[in-house]
Amino acid sequence: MNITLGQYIDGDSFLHNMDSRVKFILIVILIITLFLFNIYLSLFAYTILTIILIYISKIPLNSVIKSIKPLYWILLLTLLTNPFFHEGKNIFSYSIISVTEEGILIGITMTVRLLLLIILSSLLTFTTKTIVLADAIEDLLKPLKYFKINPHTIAMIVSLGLRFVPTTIKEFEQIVKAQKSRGMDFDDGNLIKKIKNFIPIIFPLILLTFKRAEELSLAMEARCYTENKIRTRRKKLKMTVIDYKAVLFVFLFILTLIILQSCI
Amino acid sequence: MSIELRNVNYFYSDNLINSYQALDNINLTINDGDIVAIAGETGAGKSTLAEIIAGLLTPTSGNVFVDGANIYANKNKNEKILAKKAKQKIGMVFQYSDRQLFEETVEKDIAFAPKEMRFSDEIIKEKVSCAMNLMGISEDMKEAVPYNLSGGEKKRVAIAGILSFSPKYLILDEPTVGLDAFYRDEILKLILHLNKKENTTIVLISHSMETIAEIANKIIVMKGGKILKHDTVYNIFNDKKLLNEAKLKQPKITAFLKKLKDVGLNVKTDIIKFDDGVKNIIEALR
Ligand SMILES: Nc1ncnc2c1ncn2[C@@H]1O[C@H](COP(=O)(O)OP(=O)(O)O)[C@@H](O)[C@H]1O
Ligand SMILES: [Mg+2]
Repeated sequence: MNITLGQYIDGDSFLHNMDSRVKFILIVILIITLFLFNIYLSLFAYTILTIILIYISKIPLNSVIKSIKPLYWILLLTLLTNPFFHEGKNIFSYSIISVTEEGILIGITMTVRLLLLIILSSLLTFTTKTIVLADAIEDLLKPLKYFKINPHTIAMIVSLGLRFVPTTIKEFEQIVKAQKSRGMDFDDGNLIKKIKNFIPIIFPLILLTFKRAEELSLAMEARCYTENKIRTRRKKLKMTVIDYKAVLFVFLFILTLIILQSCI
Repeated sequence: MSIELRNVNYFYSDNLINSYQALDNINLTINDGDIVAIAGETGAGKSTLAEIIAGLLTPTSGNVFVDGANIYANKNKNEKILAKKAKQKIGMVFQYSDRQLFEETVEKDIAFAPKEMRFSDEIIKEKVSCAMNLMGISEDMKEAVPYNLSGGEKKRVAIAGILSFSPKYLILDEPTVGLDAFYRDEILKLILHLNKKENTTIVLISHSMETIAEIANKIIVMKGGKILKHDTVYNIFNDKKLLNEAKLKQPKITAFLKKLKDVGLNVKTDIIKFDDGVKNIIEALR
């Protein structure tokens, strides 16, 4: 089991060079709108856009595929369960179970959307260092100061969360290994058994995560971290011409889809 | 019966662009009843090799056979059942015991393996208390949370958790690091006991040349993911060129004998065990 989620891959592409604040907002906007449009054409447009983004980010296709892997159960589940839970034209039915055409289509649509969501958010973390992303989020949250909430605290929480993702995944693998070393067989049995096998992992994982958080807060205190201190940033965030281009492009992209949706 | 590795390669890959070859075409046979030490500098691939032998890390290519069964077989049901059975004959104590312990209490952790192997409640109880005794874990530690124990205590609980299912093949990755001298000696005694009385085959990774000289009968010398040599302890410790290349040293007693020889005392310089060395010096002084 090898998982790439959240790992920065060094590079020099349009996406790598964008202002991380702009990149973050645009990706969030794309992800939200992805779920709002409900014509197939827009789904197609988002798919093409995602492929183009993968291409220009120069992130190896293999890494992108690997970032999907840990979530492929969710994708499969979405694809396979939806056909049963929507009203519509019956294709097949047996007592109370029935599969509908609408259900199948919704299943496919949701799966593609989730897939694009995973890829788009991975592209963000593939092309942005965690610390830079934290800075970006902090910047974006500055207005919160008016409500007496310290944006630095929130940014710290988010970046710690992001930092925990790879460690938590590593820890998960470690516990699997530890249980395998004591006779547990994870590859054994059917789907239900497989899912059940993971239950004993959850508890130690939560315990470990708390333990890590405790250690980290100690380490932070040891380095005299206080909420109000202003950290020195790695690099000043600055918008450049490529950011304006990207904003313009996303704006036009969404505008076109809005027009198309209202026409069809 | 034995453990056999055929053309085993292993690559670590965080993302597919950087992958790192930790094992390079390993061929190896470990015979029943052996105490084999794996030696080599940090990063040589010792832990990786150990985890592959233990059935915990699927080789990128190549096969591992335990008593004739391919432990990574996954073609058909029959093969898988054989693989599972074979894997349950192997126990491994990790280099970092933090990574080995996962249950809520010490007792539960030690009982995990025999439970998983479906022993009856009575036998589980017996095996757990036996393993606790062997590792000097007192009754009042039973309910402790493993994460809160000290390093040495964790190590002892981790070892007990493996001993509790009496594996036929026991792999220990630097088991004495971080232990008090008392428990270090206890573990070495235990290894010898298991080997002699229960015919347990031992694979021991250790940085201590003295420990290796005292208890092992064979050594696998590793460097850069390759096996440089797999031979008897005597042959390895008397191959100076090999020791240099692998950045290993002779046991202290051997180096000491060499010094005595240099100042004119008539001693042998190929002795590797402490007691033998002392005897030899006494004889030479007579
Ligand atoms: N999880 C891992 N991911 C990437 N590289 C690793 C990992 N574990 C070990 N390595 C690398 O593989 C090599 C061999 O490691 P290891 O088997 O632990 O060596 P040893 O136990 O002899 O010190 C080292 O160079 C190490 O950096
Ligand atoms: Mg090691």
